[in-house]
Amino acid sequence: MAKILKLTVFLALIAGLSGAALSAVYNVTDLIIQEAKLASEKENLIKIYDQGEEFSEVQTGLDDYDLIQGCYEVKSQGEIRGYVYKISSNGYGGAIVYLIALDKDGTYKGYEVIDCSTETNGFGSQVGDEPFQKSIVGKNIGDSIDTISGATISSTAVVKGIDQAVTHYNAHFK
Amino acid sequence: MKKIDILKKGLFVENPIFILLLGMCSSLAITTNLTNAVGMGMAVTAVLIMSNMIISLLRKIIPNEIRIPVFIVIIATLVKCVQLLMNAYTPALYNSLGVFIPLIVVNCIILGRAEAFASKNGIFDSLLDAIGMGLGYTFAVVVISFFRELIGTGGISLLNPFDSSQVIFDLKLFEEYAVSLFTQPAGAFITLGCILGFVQWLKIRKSKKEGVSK
Repeated sequence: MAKILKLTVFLALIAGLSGAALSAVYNVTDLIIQEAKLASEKENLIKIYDQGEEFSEVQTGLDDYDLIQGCYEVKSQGEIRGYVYKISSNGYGGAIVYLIALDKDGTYKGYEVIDCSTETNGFGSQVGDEPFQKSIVGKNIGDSIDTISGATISSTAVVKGIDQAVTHYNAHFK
Repeated sequence: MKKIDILKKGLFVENPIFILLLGMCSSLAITTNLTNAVGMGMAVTAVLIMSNMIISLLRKIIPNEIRIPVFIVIIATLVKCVQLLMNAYTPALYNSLGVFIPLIVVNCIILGRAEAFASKNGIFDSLLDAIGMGLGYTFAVVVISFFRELIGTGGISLLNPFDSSQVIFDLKLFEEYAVSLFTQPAGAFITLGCILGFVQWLKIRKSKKEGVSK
């Protein structure tokens, strides 16, 4: 009995010390990992907000939104300018990854496709083309966005993702 | 055993992949290119050194009945720390090695050396054993990936693991004749099998020579 107790205590001790060491390393590296992640996202974010604004990642309430991959708060000289959402929705052939920027003035500030290589060339790939982009940017947030005829599945997926972003925006930031 | 022999044996005579046949999963999976092989070799060596030294340090107080769970807890913690450090400081390598970094925990080389050597020898000897085995592993995966990348893609390149934009060398030799099978699992088995056959031939030749000289 005493032997089993001794073994259990020893194992628990080793596990506890290991956990402590691990959390120490985590605290040191987590900062760097988050910064690196932000830096790689920033390359895309500055396509929309290119006046030297500051970006910071927002985590609140994203768990319920399965299409939203990330949300970034955009600040210019301390004032919040808007929010950029990174969305991944399932199109025709795979995941379409894009950014949609919701500006504080109530319009869509920008729409940038990061990856639509899974969509059919000339059809679904139109979600990455300028006409579709022009049909989004400048519209008021919440206005309906026309889907592309001949590319229904791809464009519906994009619109669905944008709707999720708008819902989240209305719930948290308005 | 002389100190230098402890280190040397891991390189050739008791090479963990070619002779002891340990850690083969990872050696097949990450040898698709030279850069991954070098990066993985460094990660495994780092974990091996730390785990050997810690286990050797604690060998007198670890109760014999629970030694395997204790080894595994220590090794798993070390691998997780290495994974976090790689994610922070070598993100490109972290992304390309992917799931094979946490799989270092079940790499038989680490547990094998802990059980066979570190739990029975002093700290310095365990350090030498770890360095030897780690370098032997790195040498083995470099050789395998050299052939796989060369035959599979028709060229060979090496990027700095810490800074993926820095190209150390990048040779393209015969792209049209590349056999892409070698970049896939089947090709990995074929390459490894051929190398193991060659190693066995060397061993037989060596023992024949020694037999004749006796």
